[in-house]
Amino acid sequence: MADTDDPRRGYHDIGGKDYGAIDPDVTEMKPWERQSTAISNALGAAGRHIYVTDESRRAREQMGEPLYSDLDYYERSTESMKMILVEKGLFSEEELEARMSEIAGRMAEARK
Amino acid sequence: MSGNFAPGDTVQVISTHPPGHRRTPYYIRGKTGEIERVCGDFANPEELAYGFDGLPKKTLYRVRFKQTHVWSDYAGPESDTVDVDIYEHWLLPA
Repeated sequence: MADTDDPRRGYHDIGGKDYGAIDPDVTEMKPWERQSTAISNALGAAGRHIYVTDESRRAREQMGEPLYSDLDYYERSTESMKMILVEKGLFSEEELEARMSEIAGRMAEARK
Repeated sequence: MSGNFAPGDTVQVISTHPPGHRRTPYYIRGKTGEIERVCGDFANPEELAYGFDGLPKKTLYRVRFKQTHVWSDYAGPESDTVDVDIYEHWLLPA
């Protein structure tokens, strides 16, 4: 039954597929990864309860295989958090883009 | 406890592949196993995933499967098993 090419199978649903050995090297979290995790916890079930883990998991399954494969663990969690917050109307993609370029501009200014 | 199954009961996992956030892994769908324990009642994660409250709660079971039944090419001992946590709405009496 376990047809690995079954199109009904989610790209995240990899149990039994050969993905090779797990890399046991544990790397230190980068500062932005800590910040993103802190924001997620503050907004999550233990904090403001704006979104729950299950929504974040669903967003990972919804972002599409190319993006999912491209992103590492913390990038996926950050992207899925953004997807849910946009879905709930806390901010729009456009507002996020505008804010990001504003900050990028400020950082470029500071480096001069 | 609202569960319909008790430890030792034989159950079959529903063989279906609907879209959406589904908590039963692909490899175990359609397989037959035995209730190992009743884990408790929990808000349904397949509804929580879309921002709803997941109520009424669903009973979660730990179901034990023989590895040789799950994987056609399983090379380990016949006695090997795998436990999977599965919600009641994915299980049928078998």
